[in-house]
Amino acid sequence: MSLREHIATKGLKRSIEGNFGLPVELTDPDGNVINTNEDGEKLKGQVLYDRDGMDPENGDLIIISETRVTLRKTALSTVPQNGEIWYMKIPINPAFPDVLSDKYLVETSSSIKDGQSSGWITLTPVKAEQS
Amino acid sequence: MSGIDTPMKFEELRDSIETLLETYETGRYQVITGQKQDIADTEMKDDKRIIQLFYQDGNYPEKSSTKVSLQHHCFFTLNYYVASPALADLSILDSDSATAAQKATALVNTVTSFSRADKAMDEFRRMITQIIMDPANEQLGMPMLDTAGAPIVTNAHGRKQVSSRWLSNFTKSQPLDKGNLTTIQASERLFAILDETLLGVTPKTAASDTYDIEQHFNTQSDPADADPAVSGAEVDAT
Repeated sequence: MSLREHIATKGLKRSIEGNFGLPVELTDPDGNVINTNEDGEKLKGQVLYDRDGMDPENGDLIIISETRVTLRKTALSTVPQNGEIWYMKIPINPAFPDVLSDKYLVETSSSIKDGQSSGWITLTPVKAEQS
Repeated sequence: MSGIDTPMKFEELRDSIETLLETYETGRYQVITGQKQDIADTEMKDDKRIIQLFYQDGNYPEKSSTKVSLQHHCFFTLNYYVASPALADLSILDSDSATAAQKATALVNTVTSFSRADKAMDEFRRMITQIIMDPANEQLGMPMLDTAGAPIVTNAHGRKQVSSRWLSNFTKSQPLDKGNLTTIQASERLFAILDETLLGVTPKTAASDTYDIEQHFNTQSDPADADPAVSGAEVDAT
């Protein structure tokens, strides 16, 4: 296994899905639920609930409450592509990692950040409510 | 009466527009007067969308004048904020018994957050336009009759308090990066022409009802366009 392959698999698995990882459940456009990785373990990713950003109205540095989920591509049986709509559930609070009650849609309003060099993708979902 | 301590017409108009918009806000939007430093996306979600109103700038005629009343060309800014989530049949997507085909259909039938936010903004604009430009609201909520029931006019020609008003330059922004909802902001200008009475800071004597500054400076004036009488004159005891 080359170093690049190692990074895309074991390296990312340790950094994204290790102690800092949180459970993620996806539903792909074909309606298939993905909640395990390639080894049959619970699918995990790096879930961040807020980030640094710039206030678009005045340019100040602020904390934006925006969920971002980074996943290892090799963990997914199907990898999200731009233009597709996926359903996602994550823990509403990292203190309760087993309660996947926060519901989102990965929709076409925000493109998927594809880290091709290292084998990860970052999803920026929007809140989903019952229609 | 000192002009420093007495609200001018543009301030009264600002409050009047706020009251007018608040009359129709329940279940539709919310009104903020002034400029809030930051608004979270959840504060403006769906029918909590926000219209922010404030006096932006204004002009007086570009000429030296000793008249007590001047026309004030006012510009108010109306900032619109909407935020929308996506809608999907979560009862199917969350169901353990639903088939993959049913879930796929539910995803196809998703109403995206950006389309909802865009339509919510257009609907919001429609509401505010209908309120502001309603012929019945040509005075933007300013009183049209005095306490005696007589029409309030600002000069001998019967000019009303708000002689003209219109909306212009409605502009939508790109979706804002503010959180987990799609947020769109838009702004618009509300233009109004008012007659301001410049009381100044010079105390008035109780003996006279008017302070004819033109007579004081022996300035020629058109009697047909005389300044309105200064009411509530007071004596400077010192």
